[in-house]
Amino acid sequence: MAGPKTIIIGGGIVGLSLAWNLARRGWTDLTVLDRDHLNAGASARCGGGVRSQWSTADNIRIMKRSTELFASFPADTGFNNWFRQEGYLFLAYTDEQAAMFEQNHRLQKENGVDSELLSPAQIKAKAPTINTDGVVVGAFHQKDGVCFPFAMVWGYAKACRRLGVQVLPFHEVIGLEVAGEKITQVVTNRGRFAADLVINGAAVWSPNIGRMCGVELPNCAEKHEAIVTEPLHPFLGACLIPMDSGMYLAQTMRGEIYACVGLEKGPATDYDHTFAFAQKISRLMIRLIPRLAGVKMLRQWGGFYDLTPDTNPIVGFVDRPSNFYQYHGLMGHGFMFAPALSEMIAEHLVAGKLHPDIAPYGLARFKSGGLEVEKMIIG
Amino acid sequence: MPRKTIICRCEDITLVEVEEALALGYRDVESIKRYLALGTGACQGKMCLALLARVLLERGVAPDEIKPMVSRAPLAGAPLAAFAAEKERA
Ligand SMILES: Cc1cc2nc3c(=O)[nH]c(=O)nc-3n(C[C@H](O)[C@H](O)[C@H](O)COP(=O)(O)OP(=O)(O)OC[C@H]3O[C@@H](n4cnc5c(N)ncnc54)[C@H](O)[C@@H]3O)c2cc1C
Repeated sequence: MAGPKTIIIGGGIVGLSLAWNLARRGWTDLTVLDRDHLNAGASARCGGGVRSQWSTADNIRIMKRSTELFASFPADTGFNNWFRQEGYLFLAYTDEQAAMFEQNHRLQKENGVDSELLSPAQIKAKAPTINTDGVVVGAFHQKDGVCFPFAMVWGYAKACRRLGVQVLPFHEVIGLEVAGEKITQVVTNRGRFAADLVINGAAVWSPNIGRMCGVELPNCAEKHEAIVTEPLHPFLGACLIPMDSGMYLAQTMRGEIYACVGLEKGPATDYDHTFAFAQKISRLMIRLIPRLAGVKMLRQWGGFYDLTPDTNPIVGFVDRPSNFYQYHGLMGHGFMFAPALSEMIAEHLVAGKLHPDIAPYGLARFKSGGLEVEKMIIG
Repeated sequence: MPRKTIICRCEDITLVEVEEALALGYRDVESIKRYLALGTGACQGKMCLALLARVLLERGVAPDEIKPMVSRAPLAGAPLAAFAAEKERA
């Protein structure tokens, strides 16, 4: 039983992790289509940050599972993802932020995530190079960490192909043909593909795909920029998030410092890098770690966050066409959520078991005002 | 070129690895970069691109299909302090 003829649109971490999870469960009649080379979209532009320190119970549970999957990825796929678990350290500068950390911490504990609250002195001991002026309290979780984004895409693509999945870069979907209630053909610039089931995993481009068969989607592309520095001797264990700016800063396994921070809010049409960003991020980095002043910036670039009106993903079937499944809207944290979400979605599709943590994510929720908003979205 | 020839010095990528990428169907510079991380190190492709182009030409890729990697700021690595000190632009 190879399962239904399934076409996944989008070969980022979302499309590939789902393909692998389906193929492992016996659905091997699968084709993943991407209009570009692999590692072109947000999945290759992101920071590779993976954390369970969230503010809603379902996000905490999903990320607890995803973290286990990042850790077992080399064993599961035979591919090294360079995942390094030296924690995420959030820094609070106001009483309000401190109160939120305490509330999150309680909820994380209740959901089996062993995070801790740290005093400024404990922070200094853990990360001696950082400037703790004005810090009220820190929140730390040892099992959080950072992963090499390219490697997750390579690993999933390789593991998929080994299971017989067709992964086809440079295949741009340009149309969907609907007969009656169902999509029957996916049309690309390089030919047509018959389909029993179509999965829309095209992130910020998902609304374009939806429109090809009359499905309106509310996603909004927001530009986010990032930089890397020259590689340095490892000196920074934890990924740092100072809440006064919302900057994310981490040292990767390759030694470089990766940093990003929000700049312009709202819908964007390009992700070109800007000087304003280079200046803002450099100032924030030096303020947090003064010794970075002399370190060279090597490259800056941009990418899109895939925003939804209530900060939660869009997952599930739509009413019409009845064989059109949505899997997008992963904000600025889809890299870390994808492994666990894909596992749940594969169970949903193959075994018909809808996991309670993804059940609320259907598109129909927006008709009734959406879901609880996640407070720990950074950037 | 011997098979162990280093094509990308920053990321230690050899000719054998480039050939493996070619065999898998990656024939343009951007795909090879995203498959091997070639050109993503300290020199940002300034040293390896010419060698990679030569390998691609020798393996039959047409000259007009060999395009350089997307080039991004800064053109050469520069200290964070230099970016931070620059006055606000209107
Ligand atoms: C600067 C930045 C930093 C981030 N940091 C983090 C982080 O630290 N941790 C974290 O978890 N997340 C982070 N994210 C978010 C994360 O990158 C995304 O949520 C995640 O990569 C989404 O994966 P995806 O597969 O949905 O999207 P993508 O990787 O964008 O994949 C979508 C794919 O669809 C393809 N496509 C589009 N249109 C078509 C078409 N018509 N036909 C065929 N294919 C098409 C595109 O080519 C693309 O490859 C960050 C994002 C940015 C921009």
